[in-house]
Amino acid sequence: MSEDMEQAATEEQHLVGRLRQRDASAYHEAVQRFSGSMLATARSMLDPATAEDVVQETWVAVIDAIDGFEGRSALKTWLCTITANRARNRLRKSNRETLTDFQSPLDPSLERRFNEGGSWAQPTPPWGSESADELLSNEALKECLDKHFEALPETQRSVLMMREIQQMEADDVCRILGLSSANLRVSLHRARQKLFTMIEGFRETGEC
Amino acid sequence: MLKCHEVTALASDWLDGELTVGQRMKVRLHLMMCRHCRNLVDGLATTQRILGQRVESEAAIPDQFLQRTTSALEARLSEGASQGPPNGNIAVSDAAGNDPAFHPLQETSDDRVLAIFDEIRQKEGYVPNLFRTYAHNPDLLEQAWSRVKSLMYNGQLSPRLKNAIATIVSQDNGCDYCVAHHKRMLKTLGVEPSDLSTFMATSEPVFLGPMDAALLQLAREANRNPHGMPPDLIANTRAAGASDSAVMEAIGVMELYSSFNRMLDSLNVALEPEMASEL
Repeated sequence: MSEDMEQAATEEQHLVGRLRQRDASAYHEAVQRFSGSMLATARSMLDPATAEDVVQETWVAVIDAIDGFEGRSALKTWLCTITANRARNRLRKSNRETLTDFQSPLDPSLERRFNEGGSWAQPTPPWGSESADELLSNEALKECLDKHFEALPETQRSVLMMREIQQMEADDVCRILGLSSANLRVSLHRARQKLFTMIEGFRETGEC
Repeated sequence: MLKCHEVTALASDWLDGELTVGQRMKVRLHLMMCRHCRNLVDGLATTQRILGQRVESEAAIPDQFLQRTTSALEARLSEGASQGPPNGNIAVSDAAGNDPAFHPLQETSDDRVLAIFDEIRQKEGYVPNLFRTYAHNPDLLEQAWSRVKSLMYNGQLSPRLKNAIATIVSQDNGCDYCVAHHKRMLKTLGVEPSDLSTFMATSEPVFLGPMDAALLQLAREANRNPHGMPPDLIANTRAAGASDSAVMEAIGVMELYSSFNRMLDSLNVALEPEMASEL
């Protein structure tokens, strides 16, 4: 562990200790530091107003729950896990999504590009040397990506947010979303394929 | 030799290092020979990097949210050691006359009801409002109690698992009455307070073994997502060692408590005052 990381870990332990003692200033500090990640997590599942409600409730629940925090993950990840667990219950009440077909690992956008023998009928052209940074310097592409991210099916969007962005443990994500680990992998793969075909289309046509 | 379609199906697992050694060799061999699939894998990897950079891991924190949250926290912190209801909207019966809508039966001369109340007292020490409410209809009281007896006091699954199912199903359904009762049961069954806190917050059942954890996940999904239950959750439960009879019992506990949750919440049945500290 580097010195910086060690220092960060010690600081976090200190903060957790103060949270356990119900120190109001510690809560104030933690709310400012971690609410951004918690809101991003909740918003991947809920509308912004409900997401704020859920994060607020989560903070109040943390007062009792902090005793169970064992430091196996970072405090931020743990807070996102509680947030997601509560957000998932709100989700059930407000709408029901069309299920991802877990049996097919390929998104329809890619599936149709294969022939019956399982070979490429419309192969993907090389992406060339354009790096992620170069692609992201294009404002129109960024907007298009945001739009397509928002439009992903509920499960795929929350899996991407929890696994890729908030780095939550696969087991935690499975438990919260009620997925088996195989279906978690399918959801993640399907989401990436959707955004892959979107970016590919954008590079070819310049349109979203 | 893998087909392009198969390689595309495995592409994320390849990138994330989730393949077995054998699969990895097959994919590597295919990628050496096939530029189309190399293009796909490269593009997918770039997509992943773009996502990591573009999707914000932190949302902006609105001032109003900050104010609301700070005052909610201050209110809760000043209440003193974890006492009092967190959301303040559950009915607790009290002498002050803040009566909920529907009254549990306190006095009765019905012999059948009295006999069942005696049995309940022997098992639970007192007659909870759940049963006192059913007691307005002795047939329903008899049914409810006999289901509790056969599911919760008999059967093959561990009491810890069954009370964990009752707790999580009730939490997901928003039934504070049942959550309070079954949290207390879990404590009585020796679950450590910190493990219980973890369970309530993250639903991680640290106090259960792998088979029980799988049954819990199954029962939870059956309650909150009956139309969309992935079939492999059942397969995983069997793989963890659960018999179909055990699966049925776990579903039975879920079913029992989701019906109790509906009854208690719709009639706004009051929590017994001595249970209020469990909230």
